[in-house]
Amino acid sequence: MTLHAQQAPSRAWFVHQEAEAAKQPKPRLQWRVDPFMIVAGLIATAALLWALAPGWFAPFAPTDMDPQAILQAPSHTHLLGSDHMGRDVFSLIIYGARQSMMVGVGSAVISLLIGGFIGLVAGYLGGAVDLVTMRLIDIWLSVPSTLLVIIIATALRPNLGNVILTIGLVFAPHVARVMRSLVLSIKSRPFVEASRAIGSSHLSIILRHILPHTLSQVLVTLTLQVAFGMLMGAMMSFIGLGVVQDRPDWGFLLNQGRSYLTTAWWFATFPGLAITLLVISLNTLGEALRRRLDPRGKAA
Amino acid sequence: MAYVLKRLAAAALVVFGTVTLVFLILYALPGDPASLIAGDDAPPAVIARIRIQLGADQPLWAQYLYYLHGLVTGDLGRSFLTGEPVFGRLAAQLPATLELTFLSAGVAIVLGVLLGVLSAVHRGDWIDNLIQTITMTFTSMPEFWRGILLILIFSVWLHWLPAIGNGDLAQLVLPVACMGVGHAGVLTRTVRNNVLEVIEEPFVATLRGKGLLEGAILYRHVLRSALIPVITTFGMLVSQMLGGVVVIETLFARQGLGRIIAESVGSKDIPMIQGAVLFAALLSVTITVLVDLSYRWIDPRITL
Repeated sequence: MTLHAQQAPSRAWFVHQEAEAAKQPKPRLQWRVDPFMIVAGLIATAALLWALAPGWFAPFAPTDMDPQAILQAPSHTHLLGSDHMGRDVFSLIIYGARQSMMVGVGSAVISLLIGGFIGLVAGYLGGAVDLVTMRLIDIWLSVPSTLLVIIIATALRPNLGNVILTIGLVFAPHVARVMRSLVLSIKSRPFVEASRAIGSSHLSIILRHILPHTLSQVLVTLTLQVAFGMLMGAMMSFIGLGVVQDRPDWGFLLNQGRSYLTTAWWFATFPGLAITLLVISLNTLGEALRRRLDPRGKAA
Repeated sequence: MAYVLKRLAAAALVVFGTVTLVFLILYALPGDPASLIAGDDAPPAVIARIRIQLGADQPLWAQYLYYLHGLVTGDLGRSFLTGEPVFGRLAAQLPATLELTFLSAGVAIVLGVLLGVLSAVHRGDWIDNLIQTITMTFTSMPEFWRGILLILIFSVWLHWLPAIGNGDLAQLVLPVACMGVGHAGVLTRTVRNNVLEVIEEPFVATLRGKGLLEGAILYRHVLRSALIPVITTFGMLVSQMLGGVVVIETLFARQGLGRIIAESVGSKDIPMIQGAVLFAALLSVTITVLVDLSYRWIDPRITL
């Protein structure tokens, strides 16, 4: 009985939302078939597939060195040219996708978990907890994020886990802010009050009513954070704070290519293009998602 | 005046917090700075000696007090690598960074306002779409790749501009373009959205009713209100740029704060990194406070 009563307000709210939604002009609620979005989706899917199974797509192994083909311009054999060790740049990019994606996705998940938790607690509890948390976050955000990443990474050992952790930690306060304001607005809605009135515990209110309503925004934030994380990861590899392995990530390739700008423009150009295209795609998808999930949105 | 004092007190708190944060990250994280400096295979005796040199054998609070005392007296320690005082080196290279940052911020603002207004005026048509696509592309690029492309095109291929070094004006063009153009993207969006928002306000309808020309409404009235939030963005912009200089100065081989950081990271020169990060962070806090104060001066309706 209690269980049923607990669910009632939120169901009623959904019905209300549906009724509201029905009043809106139809086309706004459907995915607009936007050519940009299709291209963005394709690029993101390709990068994901490269990261999962590079061997299926790469014409060469990342360790294949051909002394006959050092710094060769793009050709039939080497579509995007070859590097200073005679490796195929296209294959290196395909094999580098995994590391770059892991840094992006991993750091986004970490910042979401940590920042999400902090924002949830601060927003839900309010009062002194909220005040102190927000002050601490202000301090954290007052240091340019690039510099924070650099000093944290300096203090830690350079391995993949720490790179992901560093970026995740640096972006967590941004997520915490988003989460806090979401929680604040949801907390004041009638169904939360109703739920509390019938005696639901705080935990149950958070799990049943607040978290589900943050999901859509969380998804948008996650998409955009993956893009941020990848850019930051590439920056770290670029200044030598990343992980150096036999499978170099895109930032590291870019940094190596920088030494051959005058003789081999393709070496630095294509890894950078890979990062840029993927980040643009993720941003496009994130924006589209935001518009889709918030039909009243100002973004339109 | 009371407001100014309150704001300064808050800023002092942030400064203190920042100083503490940098200390905690570098000294209290599990990574042991002594073994980081010495390398993993160094004999324990060497690591122990470095630890004493660093003061890392003392309790954390003692290290913290020592560090605060140093800061207050302007002593940021000596470089592990060259032994030179950190403060002197930073002070000598600061002007190059300031020059780069402020010029870039200027370029970003001019471009951002122009493109933002253009985009808002042409809302929905091809000019707007073009501007939005271009700015999206620029903001999604890694800053260093944008720089590499600029070097490739303007130095390697066209031989128009020098790629590296600092000193004369020509050497500033590429780095400033790289930072300024990138950050203009974010500003363009802000300006566009603000202009579109202000245009909806009732006072604009009144002006139209009065029979004022669209151009006059836009440039004399709408823009003035729409630009106020841009000033806040300026603070954020400069702060981000102070982080971005690490990459830009490395790429364009300019002797500034960012270059010091990038070089010290490679050699694990912790006093140098700490000093440079503090310099940049405090600079960014200062600018944020100044912007906040001017914001209120420009728009008296704001009370914080």
